[in-house]
Amino acid sequence: MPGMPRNTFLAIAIVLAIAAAVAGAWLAANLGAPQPPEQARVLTTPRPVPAVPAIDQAGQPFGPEALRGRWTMVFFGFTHCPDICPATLQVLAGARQLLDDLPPEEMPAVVMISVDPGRDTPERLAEYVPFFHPEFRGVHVPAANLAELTRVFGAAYAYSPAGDDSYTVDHTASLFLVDPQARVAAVFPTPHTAAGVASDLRRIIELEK
Amino acid sequence: MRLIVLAAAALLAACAPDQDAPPAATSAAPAASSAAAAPAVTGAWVRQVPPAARMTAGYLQITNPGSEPLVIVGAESPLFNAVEVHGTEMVDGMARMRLQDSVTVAPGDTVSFEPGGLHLMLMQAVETIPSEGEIPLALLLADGSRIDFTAPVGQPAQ
Ligand SMILES: [Cu+2]
Repeated sequence: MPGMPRNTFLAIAIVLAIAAAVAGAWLAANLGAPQPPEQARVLTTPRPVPAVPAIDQAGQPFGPEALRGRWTMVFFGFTHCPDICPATLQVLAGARQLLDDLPPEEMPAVVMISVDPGRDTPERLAEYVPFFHPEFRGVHVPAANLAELTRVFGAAYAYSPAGDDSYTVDHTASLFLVDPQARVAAVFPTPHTAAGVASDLRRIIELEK
Repeated sequence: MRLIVLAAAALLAACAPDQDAPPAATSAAPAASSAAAAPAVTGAWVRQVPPAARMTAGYLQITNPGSEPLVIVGAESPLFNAVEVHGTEMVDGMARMRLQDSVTVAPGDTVSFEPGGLHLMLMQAVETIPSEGEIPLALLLADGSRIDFTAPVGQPAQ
């Protein structure tokens, strides 16, 4: 480069080198190795879902056998819940839509396990849960077996009086991802957005490939 | 054991005095002055729920342009036999929904009723819970007045 001062030439060379390094790093990060989820926490030791008596809204047994072979998002909720439960099911429906391009075998199933088995019969769950997405299912676990199941997920629930003759249920609002080996594999803490849940689901599924 | 502790904690929380207790009537502003700057309800909506649902929730923002605190002590709707002001709070990842005795909007402030927080709990629908259209609602204030408004039934924007 005749006429160009040596310093200027050096400066341009350095700038170009930095730009190339940045571009290389960006490419590696975005096109190369799969990335870890941003909000969800992947368990270092996945926990097998125990076999407890449970049925889904159609009366089909729900347990490790039913969970094997595909990813499943699990939410603990109840139908007498006007705020956080429908809001979460709505977020899951939004996430499901954002994942529409996934091949069927990678598309996570979505289940709401009722923490209110006394009021949430399978019939009632069938009238409630699929409203948010036709493929979403409600699961009924007998009261006597519910604690054993929630313990493995690391979820909790408690009954609290509301009004004269009613009650509400305090419950863990996190979402749980069960892997195709029927193990609790990741926890999605609140707050949830459809975009956040969908993006982390994609990343976890990609990581496990 | 864990459940018992949780249940006990929940009961304690339910019985604890509300931190937003109505302030004592310390000032006696002339009624005429508050009429100049009327409180405004904006962005109200009621969650669309499955036909099987027994209850739903209403959300809104309320602004208090006045010089006195605005104290909401209740709510009502001609379409529901029971309407309560509720708050959902997250405690150690657990969602807890509790009746609020009152909600105070300080002068110049806006309070949001939004998913995962404050909401109007709409229960005991007179007929069935509407799946569309507008729901008439009213906030009941500590001074005996009310704010009437309507809220469309829908889903939140994602
Ligand atoms: Cu409520």
